[in-house]
Amino acid sequence: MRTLRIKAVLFFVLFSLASIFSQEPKNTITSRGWSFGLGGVSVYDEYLSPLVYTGTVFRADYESMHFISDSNNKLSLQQTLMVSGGMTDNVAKTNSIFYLALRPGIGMHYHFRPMANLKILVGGIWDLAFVSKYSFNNGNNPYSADFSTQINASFIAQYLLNVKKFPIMIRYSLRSPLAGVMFVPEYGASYYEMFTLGKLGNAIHFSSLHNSLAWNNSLTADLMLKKMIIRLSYIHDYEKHHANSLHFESMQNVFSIGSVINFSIFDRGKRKAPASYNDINK
Amino acid sequence: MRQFLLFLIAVSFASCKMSVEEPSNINDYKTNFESLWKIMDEHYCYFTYKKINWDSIGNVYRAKLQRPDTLNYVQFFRICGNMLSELKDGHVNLASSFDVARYWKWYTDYPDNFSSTILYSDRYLGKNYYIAGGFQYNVLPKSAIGYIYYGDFSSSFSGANLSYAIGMLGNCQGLILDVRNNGGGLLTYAEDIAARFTTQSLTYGYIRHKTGTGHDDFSDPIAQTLTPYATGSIATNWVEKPVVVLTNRTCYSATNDFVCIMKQLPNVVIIGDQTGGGGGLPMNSELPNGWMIRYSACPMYDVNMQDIEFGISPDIKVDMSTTDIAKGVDTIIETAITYLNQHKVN
Repeated sequence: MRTLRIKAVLFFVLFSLASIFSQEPKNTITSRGWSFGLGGVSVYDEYLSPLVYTGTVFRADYESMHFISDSNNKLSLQQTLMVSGGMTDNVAKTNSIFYLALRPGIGMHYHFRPMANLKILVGGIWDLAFVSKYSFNNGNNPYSADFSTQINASFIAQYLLNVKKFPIMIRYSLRSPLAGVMFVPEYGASYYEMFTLGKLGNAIHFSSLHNSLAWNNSLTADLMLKKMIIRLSYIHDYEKHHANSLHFESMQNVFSIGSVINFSIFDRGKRKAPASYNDINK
Repeated sequence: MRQFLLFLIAVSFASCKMSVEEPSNINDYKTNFESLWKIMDEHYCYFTYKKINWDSIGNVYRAKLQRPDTLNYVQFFRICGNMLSELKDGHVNLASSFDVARYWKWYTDYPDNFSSTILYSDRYLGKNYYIAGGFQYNVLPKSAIGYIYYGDFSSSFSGANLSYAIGMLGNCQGLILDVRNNGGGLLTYAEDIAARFTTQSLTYGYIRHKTGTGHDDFSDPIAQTLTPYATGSIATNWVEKPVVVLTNRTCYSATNDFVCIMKQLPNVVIIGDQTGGGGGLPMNSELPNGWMIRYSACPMYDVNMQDIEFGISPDIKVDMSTTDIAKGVDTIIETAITYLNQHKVN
């Protein structure tokens, strides 16, 4: 009953936060981007195996960004979602681990404009990360899940480049966790103990730079064509953490392609675009 | 500013590489041997209980690799398998693409105490028995005793399978639950079946796990609790009338755990031979060359915190006699029939 109550409160808080952040202020341009990519992934999970597994990963990224109000062009809201999955093998190709990752996040950035065409965004992102790994040959330790929620420092630099009047938005972003909470199973605990007997033991840990390190890098080029914006990205995600004498590490290198849409509904659709409005891209 | 940004991008992309290094030659014998020895040293749970000096064993078998150029991969596999056999543990296996190293003396050194030819003769189960999931069952001929054979705890069944099997034998005076030659499977199946033979929750044993790399780094014992099955319309839980569980040395792992549970129940008697054991919940790892290693990881205990790695003694010890076998008689089943006839509930 107590667990149910905690879940209900947690759901209510998350739903309320999502509702608040998903409301877009009037007279501001919202930029939304989707991209889909293919690349390589390396996975090391000491609970499952002492070996590094490598394979191919499919990845989808979504990002939405807009200023928090029509009178503010310094502070923006960002929502992100990353989904990736792939099959990895050990070097000898005698076993496989299925890898699936999901990471939604929400954050805010302050915009600096140090020179023409260059914008620097500095802020923080709160995210949830869920990574599921299934080893096909393991018996009572076939599955490992990384579950964490973290506050991340976020840095974005974007530069508008004009190549013979053809505008290209070059953007580099870096995100790195500062503090949070993560789930790590006890060193030799079986999933029978954790999930059948319900004894997690010392599985929930405070995480910070002493036991968790990640760099989520991406370099994108938004090609601004006449009728659409094409996004080309190179993404490099690296993450490692350790607790309970267990070490975990993963790395993704992905090339992706997608599109960006900038839109707004002025005064909730009651009038046409005003002479001036708050554009997230400026 | 531009130079700073370029520097930041270059550093952040280049600085991230996997910190875990893979061996340059995954097939090197010494590398794989040391990996195997270390995995067992850090994860195997019975070194202290079995009084095993793993350092010494490692030195003995490491010496056999002094001239690796004279070995082929089959010989190397045998050396590794022989080292693991020193642990005398049926849950320890090394699996390659061409062979599985194993230790089977926990049952090969003892009488079989089971004959499928006799079991499926007309004297006992016959040919027209019922099958529900992994259960084979019927009323024994010329008796009012129900008989269920369950030969594999990996063999799946539903709650309805179990309800119908128990329900169709519900008018019998007693029940024989035969788990001989059952080498184990899922612990949850053991609990699912045992839950039909009680109406009260009870602690039947404990389990621990390693919390670090030391041989004695264990968690506190975690209680294993049996929760009675919430009965439906098909059958009530079998708690009023006597039950006999038949065992032999091939009862291992989850079957061993099942016998550990059933032994706690007041209307249940264990008849046959001691179980084979296998009290350590196994987990898996692997060597750089891809050979899979399975090892006992989490020791399990009975309700008195006695280790069940070496098996559980029956309440009534009986072996199948050669005279009976020659006549097509299963001494253990006959002992169970006699017991149930003597303990009828009026």
